[in-house]
Amino acid sequence: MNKHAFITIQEISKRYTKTSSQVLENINLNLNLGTSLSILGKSGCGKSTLLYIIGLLDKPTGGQYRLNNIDMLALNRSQQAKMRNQYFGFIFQEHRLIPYLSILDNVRLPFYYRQEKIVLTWEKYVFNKLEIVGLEKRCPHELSVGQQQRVAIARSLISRPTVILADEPTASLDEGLAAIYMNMLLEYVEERQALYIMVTHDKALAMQAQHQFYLK
Amino acid sequence: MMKQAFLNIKSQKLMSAIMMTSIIAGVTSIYILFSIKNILALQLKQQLIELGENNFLATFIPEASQINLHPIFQYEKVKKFIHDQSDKTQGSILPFSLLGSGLLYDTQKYPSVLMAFGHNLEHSPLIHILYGRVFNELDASDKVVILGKGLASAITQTPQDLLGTHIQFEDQLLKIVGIYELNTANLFDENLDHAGIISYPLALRLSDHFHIDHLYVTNAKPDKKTQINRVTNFYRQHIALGSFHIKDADFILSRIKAQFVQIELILKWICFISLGVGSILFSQLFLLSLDKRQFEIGIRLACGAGPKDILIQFILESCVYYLIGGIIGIILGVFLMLGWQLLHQSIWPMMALVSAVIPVILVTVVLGVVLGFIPGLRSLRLHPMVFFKPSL
Repeated sequence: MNKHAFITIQEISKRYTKTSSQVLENINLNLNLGTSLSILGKSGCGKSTLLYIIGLLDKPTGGQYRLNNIDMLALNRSQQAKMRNQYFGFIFQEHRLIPYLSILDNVRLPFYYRQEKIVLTWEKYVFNKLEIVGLEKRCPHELSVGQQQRVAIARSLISRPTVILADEPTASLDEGLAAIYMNMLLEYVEERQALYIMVTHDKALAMQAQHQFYLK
Repeated sequence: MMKQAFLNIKSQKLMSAIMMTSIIAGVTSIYILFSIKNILALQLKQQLIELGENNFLATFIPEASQINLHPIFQYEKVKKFIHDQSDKTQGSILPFSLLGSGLLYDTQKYPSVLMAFGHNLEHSPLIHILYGRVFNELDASDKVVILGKGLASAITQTPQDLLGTHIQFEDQLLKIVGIYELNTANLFDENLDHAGIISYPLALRLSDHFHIDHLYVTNAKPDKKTQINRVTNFYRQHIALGSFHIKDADFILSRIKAQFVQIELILKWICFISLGVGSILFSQLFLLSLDKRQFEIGIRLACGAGPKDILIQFILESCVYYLIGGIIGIILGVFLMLGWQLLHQSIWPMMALVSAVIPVILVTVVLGVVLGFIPGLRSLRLHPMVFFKPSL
């Protein structure tokens, strides 16, 4: 085990039902802070499953997973929820905003589940950086697809997470925008010594990350 | 979270409207049923106060009696007992209006039926005068009677024509001064319709001529229920000797309860069915909306919501539905009840309408929590991947 690794995954495997085939088999990963990783592979090879296991949204059927030297699989669901809130920021394949909440409420969602108050200067910075200033009171359906994805990125960054998990984050964006947001996320990783893990089909995008992990 | 629950309800206009309608229908119907139950309970209580609380009826059972005491003499014993029991230091006023007590003849055994009351008869809850008048104290030296409508109708088709004429009871000729009708609610369950009523002083004077087997005692001071209990107990212990049925407030209460248990049971079942139908409809729609909101649960989980937060979210939403639906349902129920009251010119105690609100609120709160808990729990059992890839 790498002593300095922030995330350590050992022999992780996943099978959805007892009779189904193995989705993940003996996966090993050591990830340090300040780095980025892209997970590549064919459809159905378990890329998203691995991402959700790392993000504590799914449980493996075997193996070990430690984050910041804490055994993540020994935690109960409430403790895992706290860890998600404390450490992770998620960006999903589709923009995934809650339709009845305003943009501001969507972005601030992680703060509904924590005691801390929002850091307004950081919020202002994120809003400016992602060019969503002035959209705060609007509803998601009033925004374009690109704007919605920017809001989703803002939500993933608002709590200043240590780990950003992205599942096809730029799938709904054109190449130019995709590159801009990718750079922005990588900048964040470098500045804040965070960790960026991304699932993608886009090889060019994947190559922008420091490390690539291929799933068969 | 409450704000979010409101926003969600607002956003799903059609679904919310249908869900709200099912709640309103359920709450309105249970409010109306609770109100009806309260109205019945209050009206029965009122009748109990009017008819039973200050009265008792002792019915002689000749077959069971070893000593064939004349009830009038028994009554004198009661009078003496009451006198002895009275607190002489406070003026020794008898708690019972002795003139307001009477004698009743059994309609089944005697062709000529007679009972006796005093001047309080005018205010008796048992009867009201159809024609003529009630006898008064001035009639004490005369032989006057008022006849039950049933008895008068058996004699002639126009009972009012009997006023001023004479009728023979046993070997006595009595002048008819009034025709009475029984009040509908006779909780003593006695057939007084085919009877004649004479004044108590006349009954005393003519006691040798009549066989008396019913004694009706009424309290002149309605707030002194304890006094009637004392006399009732005295009868039970010292006079009745197993030869009297005592029908008092307890008897009436047991009868009301027996009848009311049935009504209450029926109302409870109607409540149960109407609420059940409304709740099933609501919960099905709520679960249906859950399917559409799987990705939202996923987002919340990803943002750090724990199982408790998701449960609270659903319970709050359900409670908001029930809160809004409950308030509208209650208001609608009140308007419907008031409308019915106006339409049918009924007089219902407002207390009955107001007191129905509390159990309805309790029921809606419980339903709101339970029906929010179920989909919340169900959503937590779903596989996380379902939230993000619904096709799985």
